[in-house]
Amino acid sequence: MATIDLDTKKESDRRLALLALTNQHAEPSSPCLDAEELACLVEGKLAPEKIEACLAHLADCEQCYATWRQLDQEWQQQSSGVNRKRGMLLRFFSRPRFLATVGSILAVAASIAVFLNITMQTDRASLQHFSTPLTQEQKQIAPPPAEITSEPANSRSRNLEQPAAPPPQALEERREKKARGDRDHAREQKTAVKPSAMDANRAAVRPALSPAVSGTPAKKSEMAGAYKLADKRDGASGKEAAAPAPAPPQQALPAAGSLSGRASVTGSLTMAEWQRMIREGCQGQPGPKFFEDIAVQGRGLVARHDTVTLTQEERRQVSSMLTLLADQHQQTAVRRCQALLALLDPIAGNDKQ
Amino acid sequence: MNPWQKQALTQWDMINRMANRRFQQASLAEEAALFVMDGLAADDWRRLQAFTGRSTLATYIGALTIRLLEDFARLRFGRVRAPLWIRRLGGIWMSLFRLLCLERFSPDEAVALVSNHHSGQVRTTEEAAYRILGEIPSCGEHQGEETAYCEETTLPAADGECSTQERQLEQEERRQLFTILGRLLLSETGEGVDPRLLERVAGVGITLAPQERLLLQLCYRDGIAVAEAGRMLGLNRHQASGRLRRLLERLRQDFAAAGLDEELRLLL
Repeated sequence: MATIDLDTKKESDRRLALLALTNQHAEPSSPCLDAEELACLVEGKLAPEKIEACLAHLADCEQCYATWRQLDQEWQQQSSGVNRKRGMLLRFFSRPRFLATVGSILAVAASIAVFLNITMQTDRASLQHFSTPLTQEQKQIAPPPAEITSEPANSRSRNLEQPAAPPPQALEERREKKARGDRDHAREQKTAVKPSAMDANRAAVRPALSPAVSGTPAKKSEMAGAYKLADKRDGASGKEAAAPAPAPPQQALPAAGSLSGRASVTGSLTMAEWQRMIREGCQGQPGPKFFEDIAVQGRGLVARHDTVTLTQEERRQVSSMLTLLADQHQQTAVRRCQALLALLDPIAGNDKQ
Repeated sequence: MNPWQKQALTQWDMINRMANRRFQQASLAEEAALFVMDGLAADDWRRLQAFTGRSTLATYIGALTIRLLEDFARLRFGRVRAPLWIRRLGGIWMSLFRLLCLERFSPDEAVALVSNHHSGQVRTTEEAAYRILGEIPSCGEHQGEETAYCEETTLPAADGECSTQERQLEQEERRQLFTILGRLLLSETGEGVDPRLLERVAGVGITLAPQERLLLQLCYRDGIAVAEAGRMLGLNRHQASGRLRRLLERLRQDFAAAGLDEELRLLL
């Protein structure tokens, strides 16, 4: 019933429209449209006011109207062929299913991003909490207070960045490599197959080259002197490098505190280097050999009679330390070290001033 | 090679396709396509040199091709003045009249050709074709006479007032118009409508804007879908539907205001 009503309505509208159209007949008042105007009209490239004029002519001119319709159909066919692929893509992308999928993927991605962001923030916060006891642990592992206070400020921050305090030997080795560069690194590789005497020689010099480990930062002149000394000793021990029995790799880098090798003892150290040697040796597990070497070096310092090298006060201190070293043969190494460091501190304080 | 010739040759497929669509016979279509190429090449490609680049060249050549194909058809088949009612109805009526009565195509061929050219409803076109054949018994008699198309052959407008014979001829044409229109409007009932009634209805002064007139022509005369008609006029589907609905309502009100309620009820 509704279909019949709709058809009746359509037919009624059609008759009404035809009646109105038969009433409208006028000759075209404007000249016919040229081909380019028609083409622009079909392609929608005309200005709005121009479109009105063109449509007014088309309403009156049957020829132009027929041409317009044919051209429009032709253009539709051409553009539909060109736009078919684009239209398919557009239809695909505008599908509700596709949009829903893309929306879900974006939601999941956003959730993951938020989750990761929150997790990373939490990790950072927990890391900040963990860092405080870590530094406390490092302080406990760190050298005695006298040495810590004398360290540069940036060395402490460097310690914070490191997850755990490396053993003194490794730290010393790393810093020495950085300071001496490739030349020294190559020499170290060479010394790995050289006799142990040369290794011991370099080990004796090594404390003088590590300002972070020593009480005061090494001055440039001291560093240069240490380099010269090391080079001189390397040259002196070059003769020994020809020794038939090479040292095993484990002996190439001697443990801290065991200043093995006579060559280092026979050399002439400055007061500062001697003090560093004592402090360095007392950090580890010093053996009797260490104390013997210190005694020999101390005697050498006193025996030089050089007022520039030693002041009167320093000479007295060295003498008292030598006396201590000579007298306390029966005490343990720890007690001897404590006694030596107790005698050494006032001098170190004078050096700072 | 002339660059314009090269451009025209790139559109050769389109020209050939349009010629085949315009003329069913292959030989005639080929001849027409060559005529188009000759027309484009005339005067050192004058028509193509007039192209300013506002539209695409393909569409421009398409517009030129349609007009040149019509020139070829007139050259081959001549020109016949269509009756007033055909001219008043226009659109597919004019195309069908030309195909049936001038180029002497069969009704099916004519319907197919018009359907190829115009994207309207086939049923509307079929009805129009058989209505023309029924109303014009002499349709197709004067075909096959080749005449050279020349604008000068058209008769100049007569000076002064029309003669009595011309007035009588015009009145006869108007009477025929409303008679046939009455049959067209009430074809389902089989009853004719008094031409005087239709004349009174058609005499009501109704003004239509060009866009409104084109919308009515496209939708109700040529049977094009409302959305498609709206697209051709730069309107979207909803705009076209709304405008058409309001227009029909206004037409009813205009006829009612002219005191033709009863006539309109009988007609519609």
